[in-house]
Amino acid sequence: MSARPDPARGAADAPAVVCLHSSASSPRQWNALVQALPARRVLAPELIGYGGTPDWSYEQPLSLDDEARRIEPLIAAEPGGVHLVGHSFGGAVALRLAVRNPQRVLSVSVYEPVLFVLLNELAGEFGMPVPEALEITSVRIAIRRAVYSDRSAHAAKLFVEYWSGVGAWDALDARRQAAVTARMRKVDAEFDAAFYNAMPLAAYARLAMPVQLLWGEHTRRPTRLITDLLGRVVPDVARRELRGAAHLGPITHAAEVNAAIAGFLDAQRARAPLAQAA
Amino acid sequence: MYTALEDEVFLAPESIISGVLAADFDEDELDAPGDHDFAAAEMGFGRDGIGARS
Repeated sequence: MSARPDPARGAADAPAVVCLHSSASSPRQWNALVQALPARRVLAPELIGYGGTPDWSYEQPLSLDDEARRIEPLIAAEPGGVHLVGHSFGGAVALRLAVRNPQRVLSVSVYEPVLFVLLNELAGEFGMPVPEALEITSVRIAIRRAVYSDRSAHAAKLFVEYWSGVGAWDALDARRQAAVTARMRKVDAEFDAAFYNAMPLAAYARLAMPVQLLWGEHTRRPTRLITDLLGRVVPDVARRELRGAAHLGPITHAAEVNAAIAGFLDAQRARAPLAQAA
Repeated sequence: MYTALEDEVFLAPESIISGVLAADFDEDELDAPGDHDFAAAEMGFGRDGIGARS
C-alpha cells in the first residue's frame, strides 16, 4: 500500500478521527495532530486529486457531494462511527459528510469551513450581496480568470496572498510556489463546490452531533461570517476563536488548534460509540 | 472602503499578514498523477494519506 505508515495508532476499537485537509494542502498538514492524539486512530485521506489520487474530470462542476462520496467508504468501514475534523475546504466537506451520514458521525470539529454558498443566502435577506460575499466572489472570479488564461502561477499568488497576506507568495520558495500552482485548477473547482452547491443554512440546524466551530482572530471577513452563521443554527455547538491566528491557523498555530481539537474530542468520550454499522 | 490586492481583487480594509504558507510539501508531490495505489485510493488514501490499513 502506498500510504505512509501511521505514526500513532490508538486502540483499535476506539472511534477513528477522520481529518480532511484544506485546499492546496495535503494530509500531512495533520501530522502534528496525529502526535497530539496518541490514544486515537487518525485517518487522513486526500481529497480528490491530491497525493497522486485520480484527479477530478473537470467535465462538470465539482460538488461537496463528490468529495463526500469519496470519503464515505472510509466512514462506512468504521463500525463505531467516526469523529470528523476539517480545515477550510476540508471543513466544508466534513460538514457535508455530517449532514449525509448523521448516524455515523459522532462529532465534527472544523476550522473555518468555506461554505461560501451560505453568504448568498444573506443576499436574499438584505436585497443585495453582503460585502463578505462580494469580497470572496471577487477572489473567486480573479482566480478562475487566471487559471483559464494559463496564468496559474498568478492564480496561486492571489490565493496565497488572500489568505496569508501580501508578501506571503514571495516568501515561499520556488518548490512550494510550484506545488501550489500545480493545484490551482483543482482549487478553482473547489470554489465551485463551495459557492454553488446549495445546502441551505437550515440543513445544518438538523445536525444532532456535537460540533466545534473554530476560527482565527485575524481571519477574513467571509470565513468569519460563515462561522458566525453556523454557530447560530447548529444545535449542539461549541465556538472558539484562536488568538493571533488567521485562516491557516491549523498550520501556522498548529499547537493551539490541535489542543482545541483534542480537548473537544476528550469531551466526547462519554458519548458511546455507535452500536452497529448500518 | 476597499483596497486592492490586485487590480481585480478587492479586500475588506484589514490586511492580514499571518506569515507564510507553511504546508509541508514534498518535491514528489509535483509528480504527474498515476503513481498511486488504486485500492488505497478507493479507501480514501493516496500517496500521502495517514492511517491507511494494510
